[in-house]
Amino acid sequence: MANAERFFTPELKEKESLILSANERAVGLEYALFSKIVQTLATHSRKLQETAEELGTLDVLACLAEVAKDKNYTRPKLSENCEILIREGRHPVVENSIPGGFVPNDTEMDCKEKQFLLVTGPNMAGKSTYMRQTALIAILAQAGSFVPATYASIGLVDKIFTRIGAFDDLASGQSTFMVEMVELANILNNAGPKSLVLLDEIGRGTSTYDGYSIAKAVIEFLHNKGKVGVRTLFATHYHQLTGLEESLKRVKNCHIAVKEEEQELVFLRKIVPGATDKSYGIQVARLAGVPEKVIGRANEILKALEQENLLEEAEEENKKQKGKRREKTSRYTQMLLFDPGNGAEEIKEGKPSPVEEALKTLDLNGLTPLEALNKLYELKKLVLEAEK
Amino acid sequence: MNKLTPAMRQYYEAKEAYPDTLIFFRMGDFYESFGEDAKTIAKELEITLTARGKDKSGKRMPLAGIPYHAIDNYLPKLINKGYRVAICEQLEDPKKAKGVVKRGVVRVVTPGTAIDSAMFADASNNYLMAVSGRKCEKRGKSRGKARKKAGEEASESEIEFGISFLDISTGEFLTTQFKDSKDFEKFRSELARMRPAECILPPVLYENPKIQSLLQEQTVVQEYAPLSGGEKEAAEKLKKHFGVMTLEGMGCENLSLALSSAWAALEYAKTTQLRDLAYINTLRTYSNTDFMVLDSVTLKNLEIVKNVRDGGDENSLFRSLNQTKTPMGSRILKKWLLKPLLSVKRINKRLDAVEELTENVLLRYDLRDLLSEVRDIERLVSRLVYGNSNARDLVALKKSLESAAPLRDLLLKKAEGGLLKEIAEGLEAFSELEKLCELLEKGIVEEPPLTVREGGMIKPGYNSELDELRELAHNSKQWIAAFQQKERERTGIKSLKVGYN
Repeated sequence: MANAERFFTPELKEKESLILSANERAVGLEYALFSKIVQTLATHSRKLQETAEELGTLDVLACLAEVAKDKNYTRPKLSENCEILIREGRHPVVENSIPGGFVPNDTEMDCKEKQFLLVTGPNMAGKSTYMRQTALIAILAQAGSFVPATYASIGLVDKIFTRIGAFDDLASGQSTFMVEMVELANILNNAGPKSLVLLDEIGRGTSTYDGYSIAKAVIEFLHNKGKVGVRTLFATHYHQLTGLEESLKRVKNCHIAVKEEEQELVFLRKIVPGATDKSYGIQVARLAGVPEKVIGRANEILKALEQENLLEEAEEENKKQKGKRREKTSRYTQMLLFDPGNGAEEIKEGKPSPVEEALKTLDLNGLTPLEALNKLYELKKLVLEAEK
Repeated sequence: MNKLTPAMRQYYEAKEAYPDTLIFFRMGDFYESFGEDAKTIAKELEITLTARGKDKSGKRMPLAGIPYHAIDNYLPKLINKGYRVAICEQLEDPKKAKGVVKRGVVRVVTPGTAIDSAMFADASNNYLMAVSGRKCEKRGKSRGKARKKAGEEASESEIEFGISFLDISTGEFLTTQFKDSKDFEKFRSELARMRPAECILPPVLYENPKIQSLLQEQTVVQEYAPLSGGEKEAAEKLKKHFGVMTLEGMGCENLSLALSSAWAALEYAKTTQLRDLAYINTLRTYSNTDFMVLDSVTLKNLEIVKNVRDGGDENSLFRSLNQTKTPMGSRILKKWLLKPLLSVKRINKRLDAVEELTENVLLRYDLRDLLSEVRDIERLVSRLVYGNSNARDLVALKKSLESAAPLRDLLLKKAEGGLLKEIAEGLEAFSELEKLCELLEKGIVEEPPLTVREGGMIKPGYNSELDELRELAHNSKQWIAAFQQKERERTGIKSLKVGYN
């Protein structure tokens, strides 16, 4: 300011600093006020968290009601007995991907006559979807949800065990069969009278005879476990197993219906009582697009095998001495621990091999599945070393 | 060490205090990392690795840094890969500091103790698991027959576990204690159900190869034992934390293993967060005999919460059912599916409520409409008490609470009984609800900024001093004009001007 005098008054000086700092002070004060509000709210944190839980629970109940209405679910009945009765049950997830096209199925289980359902039928017919839907309906019911069925009565299930073959963890490097057996051991050890067990194609990971024998032994074990048995859904393509219905009183056969129309296979996806006598494996292979040449040859081989009637022969042998059977059938079995057809003779003539020694001292009752596996690896190592 | 710059000395101190932990060292606008840390971070985050200055041995020091404002993008990536990160902040204003700025570790972020909202991909819980255990001799009676047969049971023992789960993002804190079979059936079931992000173990369990391998498959494992040992002490410390005389009300007074694990979890969370975590205000005891046993194989095979194909939730039972409106609802639904009940009475209580809501279409519609306004109250409250919430969180909380009152009234009026009535009564017991809504409504603007240090959060009319200051700041020109006018009149000098430097 030219040609002018400058003055300030005390009021002006005070105001100047006030103005200059007002903004800064306003921001500071805002933060303090904000913090105060936060603190006030924080003193009610417990009530606020309870409110959160109450609203969350309300939300779930309303959601389950919405889903029940949307998807036509029904309220299940729960009981302390062991009956599972499902009318027109559906798989809650699979039915979404085929709207209107999902074929509902009944499930009937109790602890007297229908405790152990042996489900047969070709691959791809829907055995495992059927088994899973039964387990999922039990889970939904006990979670407090309505279920996809027209009627459901569930005798409380305390544990569900599953061994379903489709998802083997190849990445982890364990062999399919090992994984299968570890999981199976867990199920056999821990399933009880109120449990529900789903077993899908047990024994598929090994040779036919081994697999068949394991499957049969597992059925007998679960059927007789603790004298009262375990509720089990057991899917298998060994249709020879269906004969067990005769000897084990709580085993019931059922199968998934298929229709053969001029060599073509039609999956009806309907579960019906009784056993199938065919596995339709070759027809399924055709459906999957395997070349006609291979299909034709497979049919020839099948015919030849059926004439030999190998499996039934094995069944009879089974009743005779075990040692003989082993020798006779060994050419069909896959080498498991050591092949008795080759190396075994040498070993038997001399002193007991280290493997045999180890086996003798092995206390099977005291091993966990994992320890058993480790032992098996060790034994294999011993055999391999012996070969060198 | 003497040749190091003061800042680098601070860095090495932090590194020494937190071994096995990556250090994010705040320098101005960057979080820097040095040495091996820098190499790891550069690789994992795909950022440039450079070098500068000298390390302890006089070599060039590898360096990698991220801008401070990008920490929410980068940190979760490291944590999700299982790393632990210690955040070392500047503790004073660099402008005001004499010499080197004071720095210190303000928190350690680990997979099980992450609290930032950016850390969570979805609404799922993020559990820290703590385990304690002891061997217990098996009683001969229970398996008398087997004993005779096998003859080896005399030396056989089973393990009794105490397990706690703590989600510091929601404040949920659970504990249980149980005896387990030799192949750890129940332990595995808990692990599969809860899917903890991190598990801490005392050395004796950490060194158990079976437990170690079970855990390694599914989570990040950390050896940890609180400095103060004994089981009695754990109970005392917990009582002190919760401010209670007895733990009876929480149902775990006599479960010494459960208490040890609970204390370990809490103590670990405190040492990583470096604060007292007062919002973790209750411990819930549960018994795994209350729930259906579902092991990891079964959960996987039945695709309850994850599909087999890619581990996502598409085509899972949870996903096909999840029509919840709130993150709390989504979490609770998941828990219900993972823990089906074993009591007909308790199941029917839920079913009664569901049935009522299927029949009363209007009530269901109104409830769901109101619920859709409700945000993640659990996490908002945790952030609030933890002290890292911003004004937007308060707005979200306000909107949520504003729905709670009409939800309560609707239920009180329309619900017939059972669980719905209980929820209504629970909401009714929160007498301060309206008061808090009012406080938020009056205090916080509708669209506040993200930061809390730049103003613009508080509504006009809430505080007169603030209003005055704002007036002063905004209207300073007007005030000067008015003052000039006043002075001209007072002095009679027409050419008088008022300005400021």
